Amino acid sequence: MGYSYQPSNGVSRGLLIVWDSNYVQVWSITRFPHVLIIRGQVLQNSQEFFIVNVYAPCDSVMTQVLWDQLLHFVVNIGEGNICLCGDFNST
Amino acid sequence: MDERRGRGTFLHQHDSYIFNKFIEDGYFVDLPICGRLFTWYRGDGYSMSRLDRFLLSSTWCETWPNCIQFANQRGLSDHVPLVLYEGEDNWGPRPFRMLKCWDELPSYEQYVCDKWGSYIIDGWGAFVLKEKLKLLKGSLRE
Repeated sequence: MGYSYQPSNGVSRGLLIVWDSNYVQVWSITRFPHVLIIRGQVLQNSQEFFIVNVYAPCDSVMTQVLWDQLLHFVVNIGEGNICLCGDFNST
Repeated sequence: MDERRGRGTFLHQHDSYIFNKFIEDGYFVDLPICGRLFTWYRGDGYSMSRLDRFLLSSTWCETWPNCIQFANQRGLSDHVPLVLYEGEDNWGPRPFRMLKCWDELPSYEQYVCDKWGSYIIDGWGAFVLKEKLKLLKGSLRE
């Protein structure tokens, strides 16, 4: 088993990703405010993936900055298995 | 479908706009939500919202084409657990099938009646029916 986290600020904004090392291998972890990203591969089929764990702020100006950062990150990857997940604080 | 219910909806229109633009600009796949419509509930019982979700790249959807986003039962948190299932095993209960020709076997009807009566299952009606069909499927296979 492996894990990676961003500490919480009080009772909120913590981020945690846990994985089963029998199924996936994780080789890099990236953190920026409100985001925790792991990159790895599924051992069974060698598919590479990115899991992008998001805890968006409530403030509109800050969320706009976050969306821009995430788009920048995704565009840099190009074609990849990317899964963004979490609390986007938006609908 | 409105993803937010409660008070002060008007104030959120701009936020919704920039979030939807983010989803479009990133070419993300926003899967429909199964299980329930909202992922967050305020204690007042009036406000609820779909704050949590999975957004997938189109490549992800080509690699794993059978993903389902499922919102589970509420626990102690004001958010509900949201699960992304992958694979063909999560299409719900498999259908019960019979071949019409089985009915032509003289012993078929009696066999089904005997077996049906022999299963003892407790629970609410639909559960008993589902479990009995499952057991019957196993018996017929034998």
